[in-house]
Amino acid sequence: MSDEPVEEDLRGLPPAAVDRVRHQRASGVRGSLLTAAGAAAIRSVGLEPVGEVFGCVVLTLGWAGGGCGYGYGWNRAMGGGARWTGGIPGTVGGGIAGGTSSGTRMAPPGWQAGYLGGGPIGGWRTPVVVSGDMGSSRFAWARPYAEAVSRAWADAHDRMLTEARALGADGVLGIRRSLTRVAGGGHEYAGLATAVRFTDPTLRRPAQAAPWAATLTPEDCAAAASAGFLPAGVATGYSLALKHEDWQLKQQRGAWNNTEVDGLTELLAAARGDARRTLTLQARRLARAGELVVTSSSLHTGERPCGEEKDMTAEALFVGTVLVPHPAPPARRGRALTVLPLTPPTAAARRRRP
Amino acid sequence: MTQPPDSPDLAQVHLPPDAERRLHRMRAGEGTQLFTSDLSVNEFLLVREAGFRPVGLVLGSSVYHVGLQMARWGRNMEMDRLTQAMYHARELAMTRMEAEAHELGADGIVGVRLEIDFKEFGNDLAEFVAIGTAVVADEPPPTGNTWRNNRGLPFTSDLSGQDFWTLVQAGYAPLGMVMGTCVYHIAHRGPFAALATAGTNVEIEQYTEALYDARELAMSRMQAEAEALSAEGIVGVQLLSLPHRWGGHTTEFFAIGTAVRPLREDHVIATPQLVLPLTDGRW
Repeated sequence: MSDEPVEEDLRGLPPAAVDRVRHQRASGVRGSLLTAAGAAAIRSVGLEPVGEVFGCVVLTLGWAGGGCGYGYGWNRAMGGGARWTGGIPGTVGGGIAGGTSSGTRMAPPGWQAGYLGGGPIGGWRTPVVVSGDMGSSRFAWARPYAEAVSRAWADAHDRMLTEARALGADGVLGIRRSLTRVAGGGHEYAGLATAVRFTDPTLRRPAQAAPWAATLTPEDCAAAASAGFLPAGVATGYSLALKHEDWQLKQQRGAWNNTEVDGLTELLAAARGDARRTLTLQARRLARAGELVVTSSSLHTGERPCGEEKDMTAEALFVGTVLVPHPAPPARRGRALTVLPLTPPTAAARRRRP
Repeated sequence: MTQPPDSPDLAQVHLPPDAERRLHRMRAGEGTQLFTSDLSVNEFLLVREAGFRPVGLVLGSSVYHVGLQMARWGRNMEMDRLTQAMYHARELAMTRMEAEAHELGADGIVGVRLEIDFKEFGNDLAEFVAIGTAVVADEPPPTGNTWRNNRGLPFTSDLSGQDFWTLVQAGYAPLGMVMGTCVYHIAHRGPFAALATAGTNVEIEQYTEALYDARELAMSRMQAEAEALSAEGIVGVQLLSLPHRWGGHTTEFFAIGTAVRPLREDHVIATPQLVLPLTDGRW
């Protein structure tokens, strides 16, 4: 480790990464994570690899405090539910249906109207809260967690781009994201990708501009480029949704007959909805017009104790790549070649199996 | 088929307010032309080539509590309550997805995935999800009218973008995903029956019958759905045995495929030629 001052463009990277980038710059040896097919594919659209880039953040994640407090006679505290009419801004499902004192269920906006209420006794339902709006609710304690997770993905991504920029790359592609549990209770959020640049100097990125990024495979990037699209960047939508297990939920889960579990449907829909909203917002920040290709989506559910009862959690994560029109599309050799493979179903077709 | 022949009014399906706002913004365009799709790049390009424009990712989900049903230990029988649950939950998810597509003014949904995910919440709770990409056609079909099916719903198809392109090229259009399901309890064999056949090569008729029956039921239900759509045929059918979490003897037999109709008289495709790909089986 040297004590010499760190170059402007390498600030924020750990010393080991700085050393590696310096070394790579000096030696000119270019690594890549590409397969032979991938390397050939990107060369055909005027891109060449500059090196592999990496960025990671290790976090310990904790929930400050615990439980939302609904477990302890919240019904009395919120009696009548007057303040909650129409829902807390941002909560899905429109707040708690009428207090037991009135015996009537407030008509919540849209979503719930089609469902059976629990009847006068079981009429109360706890709201679903999403991380975008947790500050205004009893779930404020979960906000630091949700923010830490979305920041971790963003930071790991930015570190990777910093390396790419330092290598003089125009973009990174084939990003592989991983979330690993580290011994000792930490979580590692990491991104690994190949940095590439245009062989045509007129297409090089201006010095101040950030490199573009794509979670698409090199082959996909090549297909997109030859069809006149170029990745603009990666959008990530993360959301945490919470709901206290209410009477209706318990009743529906314990039933003998077939029934849709409204509360959980709502919870998962809310997590996905909020994550997709964030995804679209991020994508729009990257480009006003274009195509957002969602490359991965996942949903994890869990339970947390809340007093004697439980809080249900759902975390949704959507990752996508924004494609924008290519500034100088490579000459297209006619229309795409029509090939009907006589081989068994393609990987893409297999992916779509129920 | 338990689905009524008359179509649901998609405008009446309740979507989460978040989804409604998002879809509304997307439809209004709101100064942006940004669309979301979960097609791979190749699929996306092929769908465009086929004359369709992706307008957005659509999704429907339902968390369902599957009821309890007792099976007679030694009897082959359909578990009708479980069958019903599998039907109903999938339908809820599909209808919500279709409603999202309707909201976007879509002509159809391609690349639909129908997934069942058992959550950590409990053994009898499963989430049924339908995800696909809503598309709008650039032009009405050559047969005139609309791309939507005879129930006025956007067409749905679980075919990949590649298969979809091929289908349209060959003069067919998808009508809708059709499915048939049957949850079947296969009888246990008593100790004497097991002893009698021990060490011999014989067909165990009881099992054959059960598996036969269950698959036939699932397939005929799928067929009935296709007939209701006045389809010419069903492509890409898969017949799956999904054990879920009911133990070894209770299994869901699930048939799913895409019902198609002809767009024109001839269905000619290019003459096959030999191509040697340099990739490892990846297209």
